[in-house]
Amino acid sequence: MCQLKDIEKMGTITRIDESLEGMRTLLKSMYRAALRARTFFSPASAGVSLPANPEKREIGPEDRVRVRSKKEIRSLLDEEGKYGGCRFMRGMYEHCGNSYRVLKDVDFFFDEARQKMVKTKGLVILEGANCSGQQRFYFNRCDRNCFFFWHKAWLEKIP
Amino acid sequence: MFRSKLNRKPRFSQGELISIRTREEIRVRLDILNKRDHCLMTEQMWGYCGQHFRVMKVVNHLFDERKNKLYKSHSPLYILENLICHGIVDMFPHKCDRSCYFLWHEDWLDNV
Repeated sequence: MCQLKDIEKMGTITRIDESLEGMRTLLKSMYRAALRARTFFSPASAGVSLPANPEKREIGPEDRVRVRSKKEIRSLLDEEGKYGGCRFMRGMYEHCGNSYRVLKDVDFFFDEARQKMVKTKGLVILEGANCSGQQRFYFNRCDRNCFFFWHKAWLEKIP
Repeated sequence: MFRSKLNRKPRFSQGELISIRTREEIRVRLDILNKRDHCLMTEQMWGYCGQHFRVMKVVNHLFDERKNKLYKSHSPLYILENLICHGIVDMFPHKCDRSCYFLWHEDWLDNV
């Protein structure tokens, strides 16, 4: 058994979060629409050279890597902020330019939202690059401290 | 103001050195499903019993990705330094590589 199966029973939704649920859904959809409009009118890739062969990187566990710059990463993302289906989250930008050790390749992971095991390709997790839990439109931060998923294209191997 | 009545103040703080109780001590604190307040004691976690670790974080809030909601934890939960799940779980057909930090119930921990 996995601890994630019972997350909803381990806590209660706070009154302030409950009362703001509708407002939050509206804000999220407005934010997504604004993001799409911004990407449409000013593509992130304008004036930025794409990293050469981002898919060809051979990065594995124990390797030292550097997270590419914000500009380089933005140039790789689609209008939903994803690359190869993997979302580059807001909290990940603070790790740009920093170097980390690769902890693990992510071949399979349990997708909580869909409640099933998902096969992935080209993803790794980095030691010390964890989610701070801060999210838009929430007063409190999540303390689960999850590891971010990094696409290898967002990383540069340090020799 | 918005604290739930179910919550109690955490006994340990971030950075504090704690010891995980012995198997026997923990076993008496679990229900028939190996849970305490719905927090599961997984197979891998038994291997850390009796050892000392540092509290990495006090878990006050948990985000549920399935419901897309943030919950305030009922009872004090903790994340301990370097204790991550290896992903081998009987319910999964493959090894999960998410490497989640384990959630430790306060009743399973003790002062050093």
